[in-house]
Amino acid sequence: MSNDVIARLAAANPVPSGVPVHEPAPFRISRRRTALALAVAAAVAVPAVAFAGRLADVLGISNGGTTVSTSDVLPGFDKLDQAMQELNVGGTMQYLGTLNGVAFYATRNADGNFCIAFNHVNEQYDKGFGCDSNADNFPSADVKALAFPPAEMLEGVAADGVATVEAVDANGNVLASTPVVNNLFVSGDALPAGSVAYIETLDADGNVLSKQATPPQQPSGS
Amino acid sequence: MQQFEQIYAEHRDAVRAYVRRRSPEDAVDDIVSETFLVCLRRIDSVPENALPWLYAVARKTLANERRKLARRAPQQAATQGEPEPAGDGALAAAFAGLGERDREVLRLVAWEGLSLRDAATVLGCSAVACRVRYHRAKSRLAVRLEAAASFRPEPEGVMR
Repeated sequence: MSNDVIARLAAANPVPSGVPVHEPAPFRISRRRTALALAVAAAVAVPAVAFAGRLADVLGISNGGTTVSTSDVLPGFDKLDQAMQELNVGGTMQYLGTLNGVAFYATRNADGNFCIAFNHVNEQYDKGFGCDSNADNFPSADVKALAFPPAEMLEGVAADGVATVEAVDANGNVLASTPVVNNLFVSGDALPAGSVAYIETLDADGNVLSKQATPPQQPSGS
Repeated sequence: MQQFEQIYAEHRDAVRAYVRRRSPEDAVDDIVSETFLVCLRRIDSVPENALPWLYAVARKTLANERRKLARRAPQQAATQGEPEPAGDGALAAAFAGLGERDREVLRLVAWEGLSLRDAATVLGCSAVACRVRYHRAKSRLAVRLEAAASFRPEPEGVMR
């Protein structure tokens, strides 16, 4: 009888395994703390570089931006502020510019890791922040673009010399392609979850500069 | 940090499902976020078998959220129910009559599919204690279900 009870309880699971679980739409965060999830998710995929002396060298790209107070980057988003503190961003970031309605900020934190904040300026909640200490080095021959977050939207920061950034599926099909302007790129296309196998960067002549595998995606369900 | 990336990719759906089974939908995103933030902070102490550890963090986060809500809005906290067993009214009623400790160990086994050893990690008790708790909870649920099945309300209008 009691084993039947467990089977009966399992059958009454309100969130059955194998059924797709609710995922917030990429970058469409309805609450502030969802933004933190985005920040954490994005954080793990952002590579780092060694510190350098001058500002442009610190970021490793030509666009050194202008210095702004970190507290002014995403004001009112407490959890993102908290994430910045947790990840030791410091008191200032570099405003890299606004492209297609997305403002980008970057810095290196106390550990020398590359950090990015972005703000869809016309949207109430489309904000994010992340930095990480992956051993990869952006910018480098292997890592020429930081898409944010990886495999969900094609927007982020690209290395010098990158003219186009593309999201490509496992079969080599280009899912989205967007030009790079002043080291920034923003594609308005939301990418289907789990569809992006790698991010590809191309120079102005269309030569492939790098292919960066995206983090593995789990199928929905538990 | 590569470790965190892997943990997040492998377990985010399971953690989200765990939270959804125990929390109102509008609180799920918050709790999942907090859980992985703790994971990020404490990445060096996450065991190789990360999922029970993550469940334990989520469980504590859920408890904290409930306490906060109870302080902030006691009435709302009292009426804000956790998800019940679905599609089986008698089971839901019997399950609701158990204590939270009983319900949780049963959920971990029946809904999360954990072994008792992993359930013990989530509950912060020994494997032996977890086993005892599980068998007692299962028996109590069975007894309540049997009692419910033997109860037949009188048809309206019949006097005895």
